[in-house]
Amino acid sequence: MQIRTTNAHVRDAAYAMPAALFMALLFALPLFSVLHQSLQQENGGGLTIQAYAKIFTTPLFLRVAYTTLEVSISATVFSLLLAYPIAYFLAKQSPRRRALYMILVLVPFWTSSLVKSFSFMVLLGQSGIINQMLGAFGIAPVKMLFNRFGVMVGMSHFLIPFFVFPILTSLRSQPLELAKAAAIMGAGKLRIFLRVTLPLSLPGVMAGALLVFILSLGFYIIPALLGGRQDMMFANLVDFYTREALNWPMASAVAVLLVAAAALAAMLLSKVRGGSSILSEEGH
Amino acid sequence: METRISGWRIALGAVVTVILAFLLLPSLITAVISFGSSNQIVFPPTGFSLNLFRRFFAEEGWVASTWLSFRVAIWSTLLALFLGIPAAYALTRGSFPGRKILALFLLSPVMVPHVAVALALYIYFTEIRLTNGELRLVFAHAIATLPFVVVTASAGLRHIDPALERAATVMGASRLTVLRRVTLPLLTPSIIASGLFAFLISFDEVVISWFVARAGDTTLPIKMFSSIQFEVSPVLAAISTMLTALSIVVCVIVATVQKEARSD
Amino acid sequence: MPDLQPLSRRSVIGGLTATAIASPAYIRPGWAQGKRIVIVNSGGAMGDAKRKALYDPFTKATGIEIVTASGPDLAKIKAQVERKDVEWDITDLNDAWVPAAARLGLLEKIDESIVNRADAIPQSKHDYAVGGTVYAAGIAFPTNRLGGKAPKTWPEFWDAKGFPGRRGLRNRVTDTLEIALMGDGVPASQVYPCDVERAFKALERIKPAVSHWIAQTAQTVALIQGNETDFTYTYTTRVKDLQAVNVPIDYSFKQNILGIGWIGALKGTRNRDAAMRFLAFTMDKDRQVELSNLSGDAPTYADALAKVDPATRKWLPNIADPDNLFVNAAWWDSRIEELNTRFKEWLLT
Repeated sequence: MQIRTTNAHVRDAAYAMPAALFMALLFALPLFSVLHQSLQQENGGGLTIQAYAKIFTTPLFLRVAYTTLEVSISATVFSLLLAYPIAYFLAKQSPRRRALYMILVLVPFWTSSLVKSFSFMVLLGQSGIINQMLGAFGIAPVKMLFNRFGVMVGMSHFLIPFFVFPILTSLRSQPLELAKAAAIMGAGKLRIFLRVTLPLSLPGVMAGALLVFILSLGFYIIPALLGGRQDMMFANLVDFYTREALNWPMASAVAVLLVAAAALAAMLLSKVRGGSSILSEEGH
Repeated sequence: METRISGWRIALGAVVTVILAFLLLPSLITAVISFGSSNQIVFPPTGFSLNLFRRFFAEEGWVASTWLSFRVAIWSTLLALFLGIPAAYALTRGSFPGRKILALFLLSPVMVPHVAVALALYIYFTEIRLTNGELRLVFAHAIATLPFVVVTASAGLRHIDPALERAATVMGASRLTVLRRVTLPLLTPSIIASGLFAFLISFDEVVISWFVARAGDTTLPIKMFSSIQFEVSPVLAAISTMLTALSIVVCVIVATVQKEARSD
Repeated sequence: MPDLQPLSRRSVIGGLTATAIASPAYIRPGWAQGKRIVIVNSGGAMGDAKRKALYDPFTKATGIEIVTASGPDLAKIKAQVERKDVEWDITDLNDAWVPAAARLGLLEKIDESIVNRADAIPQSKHDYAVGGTVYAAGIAFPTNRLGGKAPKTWPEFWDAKGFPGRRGLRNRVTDTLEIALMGDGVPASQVYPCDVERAFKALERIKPAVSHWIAQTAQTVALIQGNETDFTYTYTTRVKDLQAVNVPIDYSFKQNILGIGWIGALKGTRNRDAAMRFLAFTMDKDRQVELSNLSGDAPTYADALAKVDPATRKWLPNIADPDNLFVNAAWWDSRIEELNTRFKEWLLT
């Protein structure tokens, strides 16, 4: 019996082989060249860590690293606050209506972020629709764009769908009887939500948070379009060194550090309860 | 009790409405702009016209780029599903050593900034003499979308009770039969969801495509991105409107089909 | 095909006839039937204008087909040349790229026996690229706010008290440094070599009045339209297009920054001869006039200006005006990385 299961497990592993092989050949190998590139000297020659040394001694990099972390964390929280009610609402719908609402959640994907930044100005700008409405009630215009709030608006608009799906999956895998039992025992809706539904959906929240946080780390066009002068992201520097300065060792070193930050986040989260649900098992 | 429940419902409904409005209003404004009569992005539009839509079909490259994006998105989605679904199965059902590391490895493309992937793939594709531009795009997009397929499909698989599969096995069905007759049908919603995700991400991807595409293989995002150095073409608004409309139509069809295929 | 610019079709036909009648020596019809070259440009309205004024007439005259690809990119050029996998023959180049690309050996040397550009303005000549257009950038302002009072020169732009209003500059160090020096009172002729310390001091002074450090060109004018900012640094063509649709915006032609729209051939192109012939074609005076009519950028021949349609001509910068400043990309070449780091750091504080 023991041998049979072992064989089965090996067979299970075989299902992942095509994907693993594909990724090894077309992703790991090329990426290794990035690591190698980051250790090159700017003008050829032997291996060196000068690119890393430069990053850690230049104030710009440290500042931008800090901003990137700050923006990514707050974008994750901001997106979560918007995505959770949607996921909760979707979980309560019939499959058919759920599918229809899902379409609405995915609509933002189809509009290029450049055009979107213009639409946001029409909506949230100093003379935008919302500020005009506020003005009608005698309220002074609120600055909602070209600051950190604008960055949050633009990023969460893109990131919400990535959060909704894992949370929804998590919410739907909860046995309905639990909430019912709590209701029978006289618990109010809010109490059931806080004591039963929310804790049980944490694996989905964690999985979504990891995904959204990592995606946020690589953002730079949206912060540049909707943020203030200080909202500069790390990926911006990768782009500058790759495309403008043509300093590929520097670009690669910055990229390697970004990957390291993402991997670290993944590892930390997998230690947190439910965090590893993105990787598999113990989902519920 | 009754009032408390409806109070909760109303609050939730209000919050959800505001959030959905936040998600949809920019697209709505874009749609209004796209029917404007001027050749610039202006709001409110000065008149009604289909001019921007006409320009999409008349100007060099827009239609060809759109088709290329569709082709690449479809092929890369199929490839990502073909690789990702079995991998998700192995990761959720198997318990072999190194499983977690394998999972991390398959998810790693989301962790690497696209600029870095782009440069790496560009140099690599050139070195292995992969000269077919469309194939380059399909491979690159499959890498970028695979993590989403694996995550979505794994979530779906965890949702399916392994007891069902065991029961079928006990009744004498072979492993492959169980997979084909029990697991895959139950997994259909997840497969559709992950396929949709993969398609959307591929269709939207610009940074990697920009690098790996060869001359002439201009996807829609590449064309959009390249024309923004000095201006934002108002044709983009028309494209957004058409894609949004198209996606709604496709999704409604999928939703209808899905309703028949599942018993929730 | 909608008739977007009624003017253009007529002038294309006119241009074609002129080419057919007076074919210069470098064009031999039928010389290369079935040959094709790949040209990379930035697309958009400029891409369409080039298709009409340069590419199609070139194919007609030489039989060489032209395939366009989107998005000139210095990194891609470098990768192609270094990996000896050159698939682009010709590419548009930014000012800043030309010295860098030449230094790194990414471009073919211009074959002066094929390309005749003797009469062109000196700023448009480089051993490894030809300058086909001149673009101009300066101050744009709204005409429906602030009583129409707007800064027209850089010292006025720097005078936040005299000209109250929110300012928009670019979030890159190139151009911004030059503007700062002119704002501080340095005449255009003495901007280079740039006094970096003085420029940063001047920037420090204007910083509180700058509401936006703009990432993308399209935003420069969109922000004025949306009443997010009042005076921004932008290109003539952006303002011209918006005026055409009655947006209340105007532009100052004083103290403009002038740049060259460069074109070069990639080192190792398999169609070097055809590429050089195309570069020669772009330096043809009539072609440049035609391109100017369609795009709104100026030709690189001083005497060609008079031939441009009057409606377009009023939007062209005066390339002979000593108050205008031609970008000196060679000065930037060795300093861009260091100054960019310093500038971005300065932006963050």
